[in-house]
This record gives sequence, C-alpha cells and structure tokens, in this order.
Amino acid sequence: MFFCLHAWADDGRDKLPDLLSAIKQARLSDGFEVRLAITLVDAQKVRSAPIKVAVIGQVNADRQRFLVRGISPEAIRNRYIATMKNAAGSITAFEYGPDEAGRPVSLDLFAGIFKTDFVIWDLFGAWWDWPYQTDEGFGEVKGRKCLSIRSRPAAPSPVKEVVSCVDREHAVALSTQLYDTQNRLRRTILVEKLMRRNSGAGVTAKRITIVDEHGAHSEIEVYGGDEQYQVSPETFGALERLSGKPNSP
Amino acid sequence: MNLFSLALGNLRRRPARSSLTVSAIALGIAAVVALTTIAWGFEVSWQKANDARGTDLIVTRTGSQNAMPSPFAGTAIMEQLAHYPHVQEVAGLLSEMLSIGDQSPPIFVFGWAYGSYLWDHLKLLQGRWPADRNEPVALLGTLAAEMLHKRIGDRIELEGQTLQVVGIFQSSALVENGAVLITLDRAQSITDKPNKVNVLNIKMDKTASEADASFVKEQVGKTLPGFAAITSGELVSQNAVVRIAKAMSHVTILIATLVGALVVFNTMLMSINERTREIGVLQALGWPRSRIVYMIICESAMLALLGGLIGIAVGVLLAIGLEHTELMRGKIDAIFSFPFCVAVLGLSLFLGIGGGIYPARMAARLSPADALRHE
Repeated sequence: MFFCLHAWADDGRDKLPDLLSAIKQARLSDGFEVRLAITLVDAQKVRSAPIKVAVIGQVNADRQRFLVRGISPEAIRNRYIATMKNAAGSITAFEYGPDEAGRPVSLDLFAGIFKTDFVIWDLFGAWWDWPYQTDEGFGEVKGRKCLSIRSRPAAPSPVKEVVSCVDREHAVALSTQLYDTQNRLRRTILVEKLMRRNSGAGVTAKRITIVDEHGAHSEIEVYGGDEQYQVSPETFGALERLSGKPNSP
Repeated sequence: MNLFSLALGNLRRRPARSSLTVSAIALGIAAVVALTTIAWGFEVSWQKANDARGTDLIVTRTGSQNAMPSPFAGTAIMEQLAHYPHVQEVAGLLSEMLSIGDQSPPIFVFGWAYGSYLWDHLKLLQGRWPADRNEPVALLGTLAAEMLHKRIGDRIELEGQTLQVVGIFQSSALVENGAVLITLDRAQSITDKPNKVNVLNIKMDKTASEADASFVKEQVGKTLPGFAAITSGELVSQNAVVRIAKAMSHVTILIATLVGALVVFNTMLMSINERTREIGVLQALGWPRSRIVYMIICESAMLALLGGLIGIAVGVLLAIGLEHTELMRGKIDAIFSFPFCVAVLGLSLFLGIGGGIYPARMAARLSPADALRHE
C-alpha cells in the first residue's frame, strides 16, 4: 500500500506547471548556434542531398529571435532568414540575401524554410505559453517514457492544438504533433537521438525527424554548434533594421 | 604415442565439434583483438598528434568530455597564460569534424594559430604554407588528399566557404595526415566562432621542469574557474570516444572470456560423456588419474590455442579493414604489439584450461568398472 501511494505521488502528473516551467527554462539562452544538415525524404523514400543551415538563437523572457543562415548548397548560400517574437507574442520574419542585398521579403511563418519541413513558427515553441495545457497521461516514444501534454491556444491560431510527449527527466519534448483548425495532423516532430550538452547539464536533440501530412519527411541532424555563442550587435542587426526596432545585443 | 599426439588425435576424430569450438573461441578473441587495438589506437594516435606538436600542457574547459572539447573565448586566457614562468608559447586550436562538400563523410578540420609552433613538426611535401592568418587556403594531410582526391590548386568547400588547396603535408600522427589544416582565424570564420578555441596549447621553455608544469596547472586551477591545465595524455584519456571505446573493449573481453570458457567446458563435457568407455579402458590399462586429467586439459588447451591464433589473425584483419572504411579512414590507427598478442593467447589458454578443469576432473573420477559398463 505504501509503495502504491508512493508511486502515485511520485508520478509527477500533479506537477504539470513545474514541468512546463522546466521546459521553458531549458529553452532560455543568451546565445547559441547550431549547424544542421537537413535531408529531405519524399513519400517514395528518395533522399535529397543534405541542405546545411546554421541557426543562431537568443531566447529570454522578453524576446526570442533567431537567424537562419544557408550554408549549402549554392542556391541557399548566405541567404538569411531572421525572425523575432516580442513580449506581446507577435512574430515577424524576413528573408534576405548577403549584405541585405535584394528586397527582403516577409515570410509565411507556417511554411517550411528552404523547401524543407523545418518551419519557422515551430522554433518559438509558442504552444508552451498557451493557457490551456492538459495532462494526457504517459506515453512512450522510441522506448522512452514520456508525459503527453495537450496544448490549446486562447486566441484563434493556424495551429489549433499541439500534443507533445515530454521526457520529464530532461524536460525535452520527444514528439510534437501539430494539428490545424480542421483537426488535421499537419506535422510530427520526432526526436530520434539526444545528446548531452557540452556543459554537462541536461540533454538536447541531436537528430530530429519532421514528418509532414503527406508522409514525406525531413531528417535534421545537428553536426556542429556552440552553446555559448557570442551574439554581437550585428548578429541581428538586419532583423532590427527590417522590423524598425532599435538594435541591441 | 605421447600425450600431445593422443589429444590431437582425439580432437581430429570429431572434426565438426572441434571446428565449431575453435570457431566460437576465434570469434570471441577476434572481437577482443579488433576492439582493443582500435580503442588503444585511437588513444595513441591522438596522443601522438599532441606529442608531435610539442605541447606540454593543454588548457581546456573542465568537465568537457565530448569528442571535441567545447569552444571558449581564448584571447584573455592566452594573455594570462603567457605571463606564467617558463611558458614559451601559447597557441590556440579549433577543430571540428566537417564534410567537404555535400556528400563526403566528415573529416577532421584543424584550425591552428598562424605562425605558432603547432605547424613546426609538419613536413611540407608539396606547395606552401598559408601566407597570412586570414588567407582562404587549406593544406591537406597526405591521407586526406588521397581520400578527397585533391591536389595543389584544387578547391574545397568548407561550410559554404571555398578554399584553395596550397599545400600537402605529412605528419607522424595519423589523425593529422587524415585532416584538413587551416589557420585558426579562417577556422573561426568558417565555423562562426569568432575568437574561440577548443583548447589552448602551452609550450614550456627548455629549462622548465615538471615542477614548473605543475605550478602552471595549479595556477590555472586557482585563477581560471571552469578551466583546467592538463597534459595531452590526460586530455586524451578523458575523451568521451576513447572512454567509450575502452569500456566496450573491456566488456567484450569479459563476454568473450565467459563465452569461450563455457564453449570449451561444454565441448569437453560432451566429449568425455561420449568417451566414457575409452577412459575406462585407459584406466584399466593402468593410466593414472593425473594422466587422464592432463590429456583432457591438453585437448581443451589445444582447442583454445588454435582458436586464439585464428582469432588474433581475424581480429587483426578486422581492425585493418575497419581502419580502411570510408568513415574511419584517417581517424583510427589500430595498434598491434607482440606483448598484446601474447596476452591474448594467454587469455585463450586460460579459457581452455579453465573450461577443461571440471570435465577433466570428472573423467578422472570415473571408476574403470563403471566406465567399461557405460553404453
């Protein structure tokens, strides 16, 4: 009886706010850089040559901003996608070329960048701030036990619902399913492999698969990076200029 | 007929079983040889690289146990280290595993401080060294040039930057021969890590003693929180890849020992069961129990020795094959030594004797009358 009570108390399901807080805390960073190799696999399992991008990010309570830089192939080399979410929750994104040459274009936040399934909007993990979060019980992803959380927004959104399965020990979502307003599953983000952070504190995704509604998918592998990237005033300079905001590191 | 030829004859009378037993032992020993030589080889080739550079101490982040130590801003630390007594030179190094172009397997790319002592041990076979700290050029180790099919004047693409190959070099360390070498500034630019290094290499002057090196280590520990000054040997032994490879090799040795001993045990037990009458005849002819024990142990030892010899040969071939796979080429340098082979043969012999003791004692305990009645 004692063991039953102990197990019930320790299953953590009454501690959802703590887990949500840990997830948000784990996302915070003064600056990081990850370099990703993205391979597209179509519904017939044909694989593309890898697309390499670098993502620089800065995430704090007031502001989240990311800079995606195309590395290869030639077609995307030094093409930039800069995006920012302010404290009010509004997100802006621009695409521009080297030295801000050419006309910067505003981006569809829900479209995949560089023709992959990697969607700008997903970078912000906006669903963790949504007001309706419900515990859906325990699940398993790739043999790892996780807690399923259903997130719903208060205001209308192109993504109506997100179901995540979170590794409670590391506060990492092992799978994330995003549903649209017609309740269709638009994409599933699966963490295939985790790696220990360089600092030794906690783990982060090493390999991710994003499966779209048609069965095609993008395999994303982290092949380099810097957990303590030094964000300079110029890193997000173009973004600040394009969005008409003052430049600050 | 002596004991050796009698035991050999017994084994040859059951060729299928003897072959299977030898194969099982050989497989276990081959796994031990391949994994151990690769684990040691990986460690030794990194150690060789550090030694060849002439580095006495390495400053890195504490707790950084990944394959590549995590990068840090090195300028201020370098200045501090340069003021310690007997420190002749401090040189930054930034390394990454990167693909050249889109499809090739990742290769080591080393960024070394321009003009530092790190370059001194390399032998330039063709071409020239970089002209300045920021020139967009690369040098290839002999093995890297061969793997990438590149020559002087060719271009390589690293993380979207195009570099011209201006030199081919040779090093005494395999990891350097299989690497692309660029200046530190260029490496920082390519990997978008301005002013960052993975490690700082310290070269002490000729008058420095071990006590001076210890003093530097102590000072770094006291004045640079989060950093440690260690020897190259300590850095290599803390490397996650080395530790995993060594752990795997130890586990394989343990499993191979257990499986090998059990296989020999099972084979000899079955053999004795089948030869109960024969053992009874030998006892009736006046063979002492000790001679029967020797005969059985001699058989099991012969099986294990033969398995060991074949296993060593297969293991060496496996390790050489692995060294030459596209993914591993230029990264591991399997080490084979005579003492290691003798130790592995000793392990095989131990398996044979260990696995044969109980069956031998069982055979010796048989009474001749019971043995002769055995169907």
